[in-house]
Amino acid sequence: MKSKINLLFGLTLIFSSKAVFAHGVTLAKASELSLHRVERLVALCNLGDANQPVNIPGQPGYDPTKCKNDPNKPKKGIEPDYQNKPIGLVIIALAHQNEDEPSFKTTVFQYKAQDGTQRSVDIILDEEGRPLSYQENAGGLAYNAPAWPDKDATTLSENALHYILEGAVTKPELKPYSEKLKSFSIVPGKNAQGQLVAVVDFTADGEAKILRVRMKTNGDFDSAEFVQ
Amino acid sequence: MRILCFSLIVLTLSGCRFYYEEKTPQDPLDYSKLTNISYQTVNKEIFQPKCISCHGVSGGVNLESYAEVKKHLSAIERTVIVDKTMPKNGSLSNGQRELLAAWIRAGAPENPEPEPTPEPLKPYFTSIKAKIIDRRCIVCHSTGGAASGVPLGTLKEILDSPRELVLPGNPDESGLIIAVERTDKKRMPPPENGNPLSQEEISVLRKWIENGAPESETSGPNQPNPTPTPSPTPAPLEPTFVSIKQHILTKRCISCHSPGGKASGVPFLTYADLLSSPREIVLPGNVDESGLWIAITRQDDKRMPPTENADPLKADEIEVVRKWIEIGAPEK
Repeated sequence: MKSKINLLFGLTLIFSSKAVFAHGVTLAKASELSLHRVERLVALCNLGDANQPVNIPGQPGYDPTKCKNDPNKPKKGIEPDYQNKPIGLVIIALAHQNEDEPSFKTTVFQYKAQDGTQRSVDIILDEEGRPLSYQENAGGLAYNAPAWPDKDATTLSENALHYILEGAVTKPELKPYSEKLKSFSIVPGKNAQGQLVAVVDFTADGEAKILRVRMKTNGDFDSAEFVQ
Repeated sequence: MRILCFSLIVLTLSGCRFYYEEKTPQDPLDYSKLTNISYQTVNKEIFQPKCISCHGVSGGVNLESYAEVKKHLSAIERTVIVDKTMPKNGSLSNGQRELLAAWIRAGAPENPEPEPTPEPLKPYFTSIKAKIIDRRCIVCHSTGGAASGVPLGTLKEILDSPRELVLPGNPDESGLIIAVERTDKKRMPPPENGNPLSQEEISVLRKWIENGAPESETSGPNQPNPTPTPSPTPAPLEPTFVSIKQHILTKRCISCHSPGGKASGVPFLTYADLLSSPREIVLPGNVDESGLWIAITRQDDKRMPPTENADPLKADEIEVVRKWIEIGAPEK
């Protein structure tokens, strides 16, 4: 009798906690939406007073770490370096009761500064991947970040996530990297033909192997493999 | 001799048949001429070139004016369409006969119907969809398209998108406006696919969003969009955990006070996190000794949110937190 009560209690606990149910979107999808959010926040950073723009790319004194907004107005958005110089992303699923509560937290990291510090931005999403808030974490300017000749690093990372999201539908080996994604990093590398590609390494909870996706610099898929 | 006569007869009949084909050209009807068919069309195509040479002012049946043609309409129909005895040289093509027949069937109108004025682009979804989205976007932004992950087929899809494509009342931060106004290679429609939207089109899009993104003209400007938006206007800040979490904790605290954050040891995700924490974050009814209150009101470098991260909470936010703790820190 006691064991039945315990079982009933356990089941009640499980079914009363929405966190146990699958989130509305997968971790890979939430990561993709986070990268999109980064792009949006950078775009907002570039909005501002059209009559008095400041900090214009190509103009003397341009600082890519600063927004174009009027410095006398509250800052909107984040600096373009988050889009051009990210090195990776970490994602965590958050326990929650309702779908409009914080359900995912992603952190996008820039390349480390020379002093060892690292700028990052936390993005909080709800269960459907809708952005709720963001918070920048201080650090020095990104040092030694690669310059991508065509698409930026955020776009290349998004396209690599598309490979997982679309492939997971038909390829069971990709499914864990969609549903249990933990992190990814993006660095330059070479493909089999010796051409420059973006090497995006994905890790997933419970998976010993890394999923390595190579993307051409124009955003097209190049190749993928599992590595130890 | 008989063979010679027979051959002559065959030859003659062949000639006649050839002449018959020449007499009745098989030119098909150009159906575009049926649009807004009028006397002007048939006069130009048929009466002037084929009839006037005999049926002019020189006498007999006059076909030089609409009034005269109208007077003889029955006879024209009988001789040209039915009996095909006119024109006498048989030079009307099948297409021309059909054109004339169609004009007579339509009541032999003198003037063409005026072309309807195209409906102008208006600031509501049905108009924008017909004149912009369906023409410039839907090929990619639909199932099977290059941008099928960002569908634009229905208002619901657009408003429900987690990408904040349209924030009713806020065009400046709506993804749709950002995308069509930007001047880099991420502009929409893509530079390789054609010209950007015109200033008028962008202006109407802005107006639409400014007005709350109504679906149709009957939705009216500035009326709430009947389709639920993904981010409805939140309720005002109240002294309850649910409200404080929505307005303050989510925006100012959770990025650190959650797993993986700098303050992951002091989570702020649930009601229990705050009330059951051994750190006495919230002591219901006891504002002065609640850790949360102390943290948000202190003036040194241990203030929360941290001084290097953000501004302090606003005065009204601090007051609501105080009130909340004072009345016993209710959850809802």
